[in-house]
Formats: sequence, C-alpha cells, structure tokens
Amino acid sequence: MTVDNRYETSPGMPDPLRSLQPTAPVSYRQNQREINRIYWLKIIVPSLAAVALVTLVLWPVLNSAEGSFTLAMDRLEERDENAKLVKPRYVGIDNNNHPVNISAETAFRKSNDDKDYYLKNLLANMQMKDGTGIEINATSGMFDSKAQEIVLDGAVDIHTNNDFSIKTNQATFLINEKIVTGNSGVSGASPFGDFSAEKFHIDVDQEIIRLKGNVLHHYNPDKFTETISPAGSPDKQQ
Amino acid sequence: QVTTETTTQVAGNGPVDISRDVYISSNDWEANLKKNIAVYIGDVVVKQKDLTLYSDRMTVFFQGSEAADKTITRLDVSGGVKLTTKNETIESTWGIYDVEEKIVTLGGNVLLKAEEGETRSERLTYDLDSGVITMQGKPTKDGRVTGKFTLPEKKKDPSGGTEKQNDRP
Repeated sequence: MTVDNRYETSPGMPDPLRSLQPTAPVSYRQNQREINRIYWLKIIVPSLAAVALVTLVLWPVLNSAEGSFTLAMDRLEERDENAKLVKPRYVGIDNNNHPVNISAETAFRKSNDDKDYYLKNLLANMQMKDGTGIEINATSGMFDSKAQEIVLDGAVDIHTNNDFSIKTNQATFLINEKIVTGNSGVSGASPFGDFSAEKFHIDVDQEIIRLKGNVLHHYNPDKFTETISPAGSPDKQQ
Repeated sequence: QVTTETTTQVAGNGPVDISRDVYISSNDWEANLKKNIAVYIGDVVVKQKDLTLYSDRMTVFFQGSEAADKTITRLDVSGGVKLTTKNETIESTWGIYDVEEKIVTLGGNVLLKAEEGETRSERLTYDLDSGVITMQGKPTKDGRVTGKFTLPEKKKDPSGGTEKQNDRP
C-alpha cells in the first residue's frame, strides 16, 4: 500500500489544513466570557467611534476663541489708504521769524494731495512779537500748513507766559497774526481778573481782547498781589 | 463874595462798604491791555459789595505797565447811569468813579432818591469813604438844587389829641 505523504505537514511550512484540524474543546465559562466580551465590544467600539466623530466636528467651533475672529464689515474703522503719522512734529517759523512747533499724538491726511493735517492731542508752542511764549493744547485739531491756521476742537487751552489764559471748546488760531477766535463760549483769566463770554476775538500779540455776548468779568487786584511770593515771581494760584 | 453856584451838602448814612473785588457784566467787552483801557458796552453792571453802578457804556482805565501790577484807577460811565447803595439811589446822565480816591461824580439831571425824599441838581459828588454827598446846581432858574422831602407822620395821641413833637413825657 502506498502511503500518500502529500498530507504530511513538514514542520515550519504553513499548513492550509492545520486550520481545519479540530481545536481543543473550550469550556462553557470560557465561551460565556468570550460572548460577554464580544457583547461589550459591540457597544463600546461604536460609542468610541461616535465620540470621535462628534469631537472631530465640534473641535473647530470649541477652539474658535484662540485663533479665529469674526469679521464684521461695518465695525471696520474707515481709514483712507494713506499713512497715519505717529508722534508727528511740525517745526516752522512765523512772520516775525519766531519758531513755531506743533506736535501731536497722531496725524493723518484725508487724501494724498490734501494739505490739511488732522491732529489728535496736539500741542503747539510759539512766541509773540516781544518773545512772550504762547502754548496751545487741544484734544483735536486741523492744521492748514498753507494758510498757517489751526482749527482747534475739544478741550482747548491757550495760555501765555504773561499770565493770560483762555479755555474754550472750539477755536481758530491764526499762527502769523497770533489771533484766536471762536464762538462757542470762552472762559479765561488775565491780570485783569477772570472773564467769560459767548464769543471771542483775541489778538494775543497786540493784547486786544474782544468779547461778545453775556460778558462776565471778576476783577480782584488783591488776589493777584497776594499771590506774588516774596521773591517777586507770581506763583500761579488761580 | 456870592458864589454863582449853589452847593448843598447832604450828610450820607456813613461810609459805603466797598471791597476791591469788582464784578462787571455787560453785553460786549473790548480791552487793549497794552494801552491799559477797556470798554464795556450794553447793560453794564458793576458790583462792588454795597455799591452797584448801572450804565449803558463804561470805560475802565488801568495803571501799571507789568501784567502783575495792573490796577483799575477810574471808571467812566455814560447813558442811563444809576448808582445804588444801601440807602440811596442816584440817577444821572454820566458819571466818573475814581476808584483810588473812592469818589463818585455824577452829572446831568442828577436825581438823588433817599428815604427822606428826592433832591435834584446838575452835579453830585459822593465821597464813599465819609458817606458825604455834595450836590451842585447852576445859578439859572431851573439849574438850582431842589429837593422834595416828606415829613415824618405825626403820631396820634391815644386820648384823641394830636401830640406835639416836643411834648414828649
């Protein structure tokens, strides 16, 4: 009788038939454990898959605070395409060859060929004919370099070194003539006392003051003489 | 020698209390600080404690070159002038107030109204320090100082008779 050795499995070689060989018998408990494991796996694996899917969808929305922003066209600050000057400083001279210094926090022009500069928080320093200093502070202003004129807005405060000061909220200052005018109320102090009115036209150089409308003037020579300290220099206690 | 003017002195009611604090209000104001002059125009009211001066126009003269020592020396008022103190009201056409000397001079149809009555004259001088008022007229018929005084009411005697002034018990 011939032995058919084709079915003999040589060691190490894959044996397609090995898988058909009967396996060792499994006990009921092992079988039950296997069933339970499969039962739980059927629940856990789909749940994990669902959670992963939901996380994948919600992650960009939950994580939007860090990197993303909402672009609302109407809240965009409208600015022209020109550059904004930071801490600009204008230095010039007036008709009497006295220096004119104008500095501001920021300045911009409405268009490239526009000659008016719109200033924010501006400070201007200049001098009268006799050299007495004038200082101008304003929240905002427009400087016309050609006409040598500053239109001042917001809290405007102009004072000179000879104890003359005015406060208003709108004024036009002519640099060469040293004339300041305005018609939305003014209050001020001078060696003649404190004053207030509705409209004003003040030639700072010539020291000519014209006030119109509801003029009030409080004059107290004692106040002034008392504040002169022994050294003779008036200390400014208003 | 007979003076051609008639002068009447009215004893005022004591010095007028004025402080150096002056409050002025008006419609318009123009000042030339270099020339030490300022003009107030329209409804001018000057208040200096017990003294109030009303007029249509007022010119103020200062002295002192330096800003620190400018002081008012004189006020010239014109047009509807009225001066009021605690006790009198004086009306006139023009007036000059010498702030340093504390003397007010009023002129042109001066009318002095006080408790006792009214006095008219061409010109009046008021010494605010002493309270003495001097009124000057002109020798012409209607230029003289004239006054209209109201006598105090006679007190009625409870027994029905009128009690004479000097029969006081």
